[in-house]
Amino acid sequence: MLHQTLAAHSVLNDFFEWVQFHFGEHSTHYGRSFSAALHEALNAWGLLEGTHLLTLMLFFGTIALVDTRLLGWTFRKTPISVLSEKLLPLTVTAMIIAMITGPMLFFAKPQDYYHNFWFRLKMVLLVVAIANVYIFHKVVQKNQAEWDTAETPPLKARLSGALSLLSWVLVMSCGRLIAYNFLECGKPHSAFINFTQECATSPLGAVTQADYDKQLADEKKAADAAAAPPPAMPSMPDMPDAKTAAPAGAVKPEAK
Amino acid sequence: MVLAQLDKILPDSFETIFHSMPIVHQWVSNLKTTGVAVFIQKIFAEMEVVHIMGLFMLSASVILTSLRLIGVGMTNQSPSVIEKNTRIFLHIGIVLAIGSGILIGISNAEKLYNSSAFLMKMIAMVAGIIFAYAVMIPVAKADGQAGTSARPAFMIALAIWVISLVFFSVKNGANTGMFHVLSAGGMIAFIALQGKLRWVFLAGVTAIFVVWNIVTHMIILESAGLAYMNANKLFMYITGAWVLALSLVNIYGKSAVAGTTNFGRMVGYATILVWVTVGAGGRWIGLS
Repeated sequence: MLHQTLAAHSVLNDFFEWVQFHFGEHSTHYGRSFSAALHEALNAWGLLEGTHLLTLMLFFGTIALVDTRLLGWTFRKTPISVLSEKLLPLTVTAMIIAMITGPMLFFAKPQDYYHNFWFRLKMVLLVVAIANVYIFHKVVQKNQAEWDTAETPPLKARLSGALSLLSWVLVMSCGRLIAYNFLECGKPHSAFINFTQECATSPLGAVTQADYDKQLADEKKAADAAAAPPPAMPSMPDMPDAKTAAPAGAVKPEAK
Repeated sequence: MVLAQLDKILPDSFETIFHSMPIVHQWVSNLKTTGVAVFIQKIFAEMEVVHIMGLFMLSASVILTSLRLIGVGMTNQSPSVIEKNTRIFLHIGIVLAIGSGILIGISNAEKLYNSSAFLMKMIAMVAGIIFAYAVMIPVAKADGQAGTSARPAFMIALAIWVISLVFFSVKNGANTGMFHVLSAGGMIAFIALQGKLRWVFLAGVTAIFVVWNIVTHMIILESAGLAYMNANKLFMYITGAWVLALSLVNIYGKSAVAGTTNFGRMVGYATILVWVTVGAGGRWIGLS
């Protein structure tokens, strides 16, 4: 059956469904939830999204410069510590704004995002990127004084820079892909995609390619059956046509 | 209001401009059936990612070089050093953003042809390219000094940008995007202003926002329709005037950072904001 919702139950799905459709519904105009009110407000959603995106320009710009310095591609004559120190305030400013606007965007459609493959991948990559920052500070930076001024930093620093650059590029890319619905639950996907975005517990359900093919086949069969000519009727004796038939009740003149 | 009247005078989109030439509309309509368009439609989302990454890359160069011209950010390096090291980001970013933008445009031509935000974005992009290549780079190379060609290029780019801002401000559906330009200008001014002026600026912005919200949430409600829209626009102009005034104080006042000039600071502000205008315009194509 298409759009089947399995018996599986997700506490988080239920929670986000409550937030998206019911939280604050008695406190807003037209009985909308806070999430719906935010999403449907005249300009709030667009402004939040735009601010999030434009802030990422500053965030990515500053991160990319530090990473390319670690890779030995830019600012080769500038000590890494000096570059980081000067750019950090800008990075942090951008990050704070992104960390305010990001959760607000999520709040507007939490259940939709919860079942979005790109959103989930973005969160995983975000954890990877943040873990890389932590490892850089705790491990890679330990002997930074030895290579701070090196035009080409040691391998571990270059690796850390490459991983950081790659993970942030992927985080941003996933963020952009969230807006597209080609992996939306309820459409035919592989078992992997259905599993990773927990489609079974989403309102749209999990649909596999096999389900979809079967449904198409059933629909085709039904359409063919409807289009087929009706079965032949048993042969009847010749009936008079309307023009020559005598009106009901009329007495047929006797043949002379 | 004068700007409200401009809404009626200015064309809404490329469609309005070429209205008397149906052949142009026909050509635009036919674009979506071309092989390139059909192919791009299949990878539209991926092309959007490339477009955004291009914009992010060029912003790395524009923001850092321009902030240095203003006297903020990497102040331990000269503007020429920053420009030299970030130039590759600008080149790659421009190629990615414009290349992918053309392909996206071919596959989505009719929507863009009728979009006010797209027309505004294209005007702002012309200004942005002139600012980046003919103004910011030469001025940064000269560590804030204006060369012989930078001033006329600046005037031309500024005029084009102002036209795009007028479009952005008056076209319903797109004009909300002006908030991004104002908030970016406000952020730069807040970072760049020194001493008490910074807090005077912040107090002014806060006061405007408080009054704005009181007026549009308690006095003139959303149900008032046009009056509500006009109230929002009025406060948008007031915020813009305040940000512009304090930015000019920053540009023509004393800088705490050696090696910056009035012209360099003006170039720094304008170059960042013109690219914010381009980015905001792009976002509002999808939202309006």
